Amino acid sequence: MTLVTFFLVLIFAITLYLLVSPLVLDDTVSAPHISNGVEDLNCRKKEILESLKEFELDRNMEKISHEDYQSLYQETFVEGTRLLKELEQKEQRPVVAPKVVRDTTQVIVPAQSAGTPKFCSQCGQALEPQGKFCSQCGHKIQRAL
Amino acid sequence: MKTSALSYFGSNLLSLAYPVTLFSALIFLAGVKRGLKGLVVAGQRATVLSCALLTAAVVTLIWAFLSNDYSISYVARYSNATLPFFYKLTGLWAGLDGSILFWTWLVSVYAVVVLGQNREKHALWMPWINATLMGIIFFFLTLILFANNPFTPISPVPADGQGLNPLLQNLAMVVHPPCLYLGFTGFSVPFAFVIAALVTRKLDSVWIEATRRWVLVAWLFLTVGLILGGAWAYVELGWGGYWAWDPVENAALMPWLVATAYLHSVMIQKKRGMLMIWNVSLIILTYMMTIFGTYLTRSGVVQSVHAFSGSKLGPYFLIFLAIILVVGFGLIASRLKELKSQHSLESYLSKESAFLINNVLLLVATFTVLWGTLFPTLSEAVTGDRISVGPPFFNKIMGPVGLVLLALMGFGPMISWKRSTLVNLKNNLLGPFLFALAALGIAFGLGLRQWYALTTTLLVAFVLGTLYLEFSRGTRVVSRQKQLPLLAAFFDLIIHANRRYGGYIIHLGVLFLFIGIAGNIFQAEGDFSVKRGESFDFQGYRFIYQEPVIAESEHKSDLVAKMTLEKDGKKLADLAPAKYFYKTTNQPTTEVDMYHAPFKDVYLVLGDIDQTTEIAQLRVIINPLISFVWLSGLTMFLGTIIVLLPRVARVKPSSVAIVLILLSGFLMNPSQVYAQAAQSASESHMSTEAPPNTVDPFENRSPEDPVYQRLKSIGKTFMSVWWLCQNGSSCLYLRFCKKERARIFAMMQSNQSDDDILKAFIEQYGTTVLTVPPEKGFYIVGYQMPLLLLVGCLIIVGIIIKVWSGRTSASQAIGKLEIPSANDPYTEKLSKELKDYDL
Repeated sequence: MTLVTFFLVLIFAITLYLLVSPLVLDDTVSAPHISNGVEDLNCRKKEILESLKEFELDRNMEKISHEDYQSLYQETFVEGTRLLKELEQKEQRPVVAPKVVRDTTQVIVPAQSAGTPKFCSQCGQALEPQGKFCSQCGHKIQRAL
Repeated sequence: MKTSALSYFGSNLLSLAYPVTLFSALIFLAGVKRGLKGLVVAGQRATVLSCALLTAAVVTLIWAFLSNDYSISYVARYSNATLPFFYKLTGLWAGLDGSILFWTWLVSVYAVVVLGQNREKHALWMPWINATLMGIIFFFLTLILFANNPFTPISPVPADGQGLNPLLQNLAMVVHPPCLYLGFTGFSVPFAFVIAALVTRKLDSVWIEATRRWVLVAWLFLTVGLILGGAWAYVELGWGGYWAWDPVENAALMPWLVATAYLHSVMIQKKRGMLMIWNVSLIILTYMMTIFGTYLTRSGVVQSVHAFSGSKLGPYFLIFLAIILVVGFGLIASRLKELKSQHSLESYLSKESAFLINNVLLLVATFTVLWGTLFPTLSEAVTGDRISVGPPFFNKIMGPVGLVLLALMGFGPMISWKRSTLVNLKNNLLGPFLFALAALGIAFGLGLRQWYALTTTLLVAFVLGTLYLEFSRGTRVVSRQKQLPLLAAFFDLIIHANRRYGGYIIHLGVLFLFIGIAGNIFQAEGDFSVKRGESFDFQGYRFIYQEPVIAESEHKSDLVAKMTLEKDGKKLADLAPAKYFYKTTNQPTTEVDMYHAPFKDVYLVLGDIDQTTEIAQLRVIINPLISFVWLSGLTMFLGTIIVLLPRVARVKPSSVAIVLILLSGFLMNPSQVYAQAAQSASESHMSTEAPPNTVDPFENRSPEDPVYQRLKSIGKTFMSVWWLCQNGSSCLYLRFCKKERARIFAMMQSNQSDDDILKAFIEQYGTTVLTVPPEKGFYIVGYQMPLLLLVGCLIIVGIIIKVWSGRTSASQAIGKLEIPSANDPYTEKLSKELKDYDL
């Protein structure tokens, strides 16, 4: 029994030491950052990317019609770009090409996708990457260099 | 003196853990508030120390079991010298005191894991998560220290313990309680996250991601625990089924149902930013249900085979429940602004609406279970008469609700988010629907006529069709895009779209469950008395009674009927149903033996063997499709594991195949447990309470005898719940309850009508003996309540969907105007990220 008591006292002492010893530290920690929403936006961005991929999968599986795919995809895509914009403001550093090199866009953005609009400016139809005219309304697609 | 040392040591460890837990909760919070590193470190250390102390206490208790320390009252009650090593370990959770310690310890382990994972990642939440978990541990430690200390010493020290209830000496019973407890306690983590998110007002999509995985983990354990519990009941209790709507089964089912609702509605929040208040409430409700379940088993409010008797913990749990309710929903009420939805419903015909209906049905099911469980207590309080609602009550509501959920399982995956057009639906559903009709036609042609079975066939085939379509189309797309052979594409699809396809695999498991349940309709049972060397036929099987065997061993004597099972003159198996008489308990236990034919079980129970005439009384139950229930457990397990696969670790299909093979090997274990358990089983249910010389008037009557038939029909109107069996009334028609049978026979002889007999039994035991109570008074309210609720809820959801879908057209129009300009840099950026993003 004395042995058990000895062990208990030992455990008690160790516990006490472990708990009290850090209290003498007078370091301060910065309070955990109050969320500025970046984490949240990143989380939502991931969700949007996943949704877009799922829409693609659904379309390829012929689970949703082409029209539905286009409108759903477009809505979600627009929401995604808004999120990116917001994310950039929150992070206070540009997500996209820095302003300094704005006028040399063609150098920074990969050539084949440069300036290719994603949607028709006339009717909002999602566009084929290499198409010259909108498949919905026939509007001529203007491409940047 | 060695004996009381463990008790002294264990008690002191717990006493030390008590203040350490409180210290952790408060100091960590204070440290973060004040920005003092010392306090933060001390608080985090206290969390780990609290877990270490509880671990030491658990080890001490196990040690006490292994070293047969009967100076500890708990050990003396649940162990004895002859108990095998393995079952001594299970003593930890066999009784009330130990199980609460085990519970507390699990929460503390979870707390340390959560601390390790989120200390850096969610620094803002961590002190609150920690405070919540420590609060929970503090509550349970209060119970342990002030009401049910497992280290309470006993004096004088008994020479030997009372031993573990033979019913619990089963391998499934070794795994089942820890699984359930891991599930129950697991829900405290998402609960803690919710509280932290509410307190810090940081209610964005981050907490959803953080909690979803924890809910899935807890849900997985709960699912496996429930299925294992069913397997235990099936092999061990000898009544031929696996689910009896016993209050304690219900207690575990309720959090499962609410968590299932959450796992669906959380998707709406993830995809559409809706239903935040709802999801937060569901998490709190799930946690409340786990505590409520614990309250049910440990308060003596309900009568059940599981309930721990003589517990005085009821009021403690009610206070704890009240605290959770006030804190949880109070926080929600004060944070309504942050919880506002970002979007609203766009169309009736959308995944969102389907999920809403799914949620309502699951919650109505939860309410039905809750209501049915509490109804006997409620009716006793209101009318003074304890009215039982048996399986007919639950089946009446749960059957249709289950079928509608099943139908939704077919529609849901085929409807797209936001809105779906009828053309799409036709494309997606026509095939499965035709397949379902064909299946229905075949079933009808084969002579199936019960509406439940026919509807199940139709819906199962329908869902199966949609699942097939999802898998086959998806596989073909992946195969085409990635140039993979079909099998590799199949695995690739499951691994990359793991959340979607893992979910489908879980759905497949649910389908199996429905098939298993439907098999119950075709259950056939027969009772037989046979002389040695004679045989009897049942459902195409021939049972030959070879000889009775009496075997004596150290701690029990066995009475075994050696049987041979034949079909069409061919021997299938030797069966040996038995009765065990344990020396430590007076209760004989019945050991079932069974033969697993393809798609059906032949289940053989020994009632009794007359020692002089050697006549054996046997009961045969044919259980078609029951193996689908166990298969569903395995499938749901596999599906959940797939859903839980981390996104970052994207692995090659080949290695995944290896993992799957290994996993399936591992998964065979539960079935081995089940098979082994089948060889050792028992039951209190059929204990014969009759004085030894009671003559059974039904002895040697054939099952076709009208007198026997009448007895059976009277017997069936009585409640078949365990505790009633102990009164000897429920298994009247089983040929086992001699005393009650003799009484009924005497009443039949004196020309009393069935009603008179029923009346006499009600007078003795109360209305509670009836399976379906008379339709009058409070009973009607009780019976119709869930139905009313179901109708009410569906109407409300209809209104909500209508209002929401009306509200959106305006916002939708605004959204449409903002088409990104052609050279929008964000469009480029998103397209690029999308290209790199692998589903």
